[in-house]
Amino acid sequence: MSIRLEAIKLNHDPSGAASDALTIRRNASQVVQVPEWRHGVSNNPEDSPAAYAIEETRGHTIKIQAQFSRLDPTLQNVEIRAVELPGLGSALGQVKAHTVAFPPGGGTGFETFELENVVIEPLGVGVFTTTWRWQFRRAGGAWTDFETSRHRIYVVVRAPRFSPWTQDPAGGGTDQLPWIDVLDYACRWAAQAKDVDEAAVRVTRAVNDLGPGVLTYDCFSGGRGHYTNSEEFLCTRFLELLKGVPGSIVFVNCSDCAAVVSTFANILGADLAQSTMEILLGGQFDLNPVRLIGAADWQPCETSFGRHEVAWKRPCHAEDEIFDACLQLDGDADPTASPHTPLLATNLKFGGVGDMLYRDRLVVPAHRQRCEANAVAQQRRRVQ
Amino acid sequence: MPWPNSGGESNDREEPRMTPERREWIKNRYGLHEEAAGAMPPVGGEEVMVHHGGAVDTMAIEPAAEWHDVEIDDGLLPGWRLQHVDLLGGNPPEKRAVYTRGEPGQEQILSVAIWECSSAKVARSFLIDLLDQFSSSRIKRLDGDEAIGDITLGHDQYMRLYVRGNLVVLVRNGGWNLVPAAEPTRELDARLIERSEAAGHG
Repeated sequence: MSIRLEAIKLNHDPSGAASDALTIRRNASQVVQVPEWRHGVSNNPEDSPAAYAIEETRGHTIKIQAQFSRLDPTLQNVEIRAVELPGLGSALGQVKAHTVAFPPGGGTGFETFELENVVIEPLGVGVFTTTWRWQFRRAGGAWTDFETSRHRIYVVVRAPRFSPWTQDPAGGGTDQLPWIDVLDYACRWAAQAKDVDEAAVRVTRAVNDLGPGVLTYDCFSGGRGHYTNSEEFLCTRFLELLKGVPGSIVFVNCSDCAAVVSTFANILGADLAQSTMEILLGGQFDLNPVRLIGAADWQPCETSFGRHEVAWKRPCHAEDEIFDACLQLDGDADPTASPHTPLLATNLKFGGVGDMLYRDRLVVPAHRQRCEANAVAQQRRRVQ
Repeated sequence: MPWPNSGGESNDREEPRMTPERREWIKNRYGLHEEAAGAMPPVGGEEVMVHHGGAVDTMAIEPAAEWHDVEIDDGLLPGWRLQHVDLLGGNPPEKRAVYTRGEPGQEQILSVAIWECSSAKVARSFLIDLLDQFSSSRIKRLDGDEAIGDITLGHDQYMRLYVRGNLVVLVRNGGWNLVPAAEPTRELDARLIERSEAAGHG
């Protein structure tokens, strides 16, 4: 072997996302080191993860940086490229050929390469494996393989910049950089989505579909979140539940569902908050027949709520859209009585009384006027 | 160019999340009005009016028990295994632990949350904030033989929420295999009292 590929940076510019990967971390306790790929260390795709945003990269040339050393001292100026090994879910295309000059010491700095035939936009949201076969040639010579690198690529609609996620560690804290452990689920749940609304819809459906096999509505404790409190979302614990870790709590309430939907949708670029509807002067509002998450029937264990929390498009007023994974509404002409047509509220306005939107479908007629959107309550819990 | 509106936005609000009217409704609903005779046990350290026939006297109540830096470990709930403890933000912060019992796959799971307030009085006020986070209409005040601590509430047999001194404690089921909450809550409370007495508090 005449040349060695030493390292590859996919996120080589932490201040932007137009021409390179997003700044991410693995989870609450583990970071992603840059360069993401390192010789002798990065053997599997998951060892070299990177995330790209469709909107930010649109119209721009995505670039990577790579570092080389020569093992043949006669090599001085060579062309280097990487061809994609087509497989299921390739996304980043090829690495365009670029002339690299080896200094006397034999090791280069990080050289910038352009990517071509990138297909993240037509593919949409998803998780992909990109495998590059690195080649070099002397002037007039044939291409020679010298290395294969594999990378786990996450594609999101838009750079996650709405809480809890940040691309500015100084502003939001490094632990609120997007987590790969969340992308692993969010990108699969929202696979092929091309805009943030579609992504949020798919995330909501996927969360509701976790019942009853993985979780169910908490009929036993009064309806306070097991994965949330007033300030934080226990995202690490929720991921443990998804992975089947023994001892994970199987009950969720509306606050938990709201936090999951907004957090997992926002990592894809959505701008959802967690907000509530309630009788502001105090009281319970009675419910039309609904099917709580994980339930088989339309006779919920709770027939009224003191408050109900959902993922909500900001500014979380009555005219703004809701994404509610916690329950299914009756979507037919009469939501107060059987038969019941299941309707999962995705991108559905809370609405005014008589609009037959979310409010009318959730709340009995006598209480609809008093059940109001409490936009003051909106928040986006930090992930822990 | 700095990222706009980057994450980590503060949850600070200019207006409180709960309206005064809603707070009043919660107090009424659970009998948490201090003025309601007999509804709220006196907070330690207060003087209360005591009637002796036709005479009225004042009596000092012993200071309420106080806990600081409660340690959550296996000994707090004998017979249960401590899985993990999480510290969540809030005012006061919340220590939330998960205990399990039995074989994996069929285990019983209890979630125990403890808040250490700055005083017994603050604990009672915090209880109202906490009750606003519950949505069920089936939470009830418990008295008599079912009471634990100074103020006790429950949701059927599977949840207990109580105040003792400056502590607020919440015990809930977390697994498919349910266990009535009263007995483990009493066990937990007994361990907390032992530790407080051992530390010379209360």
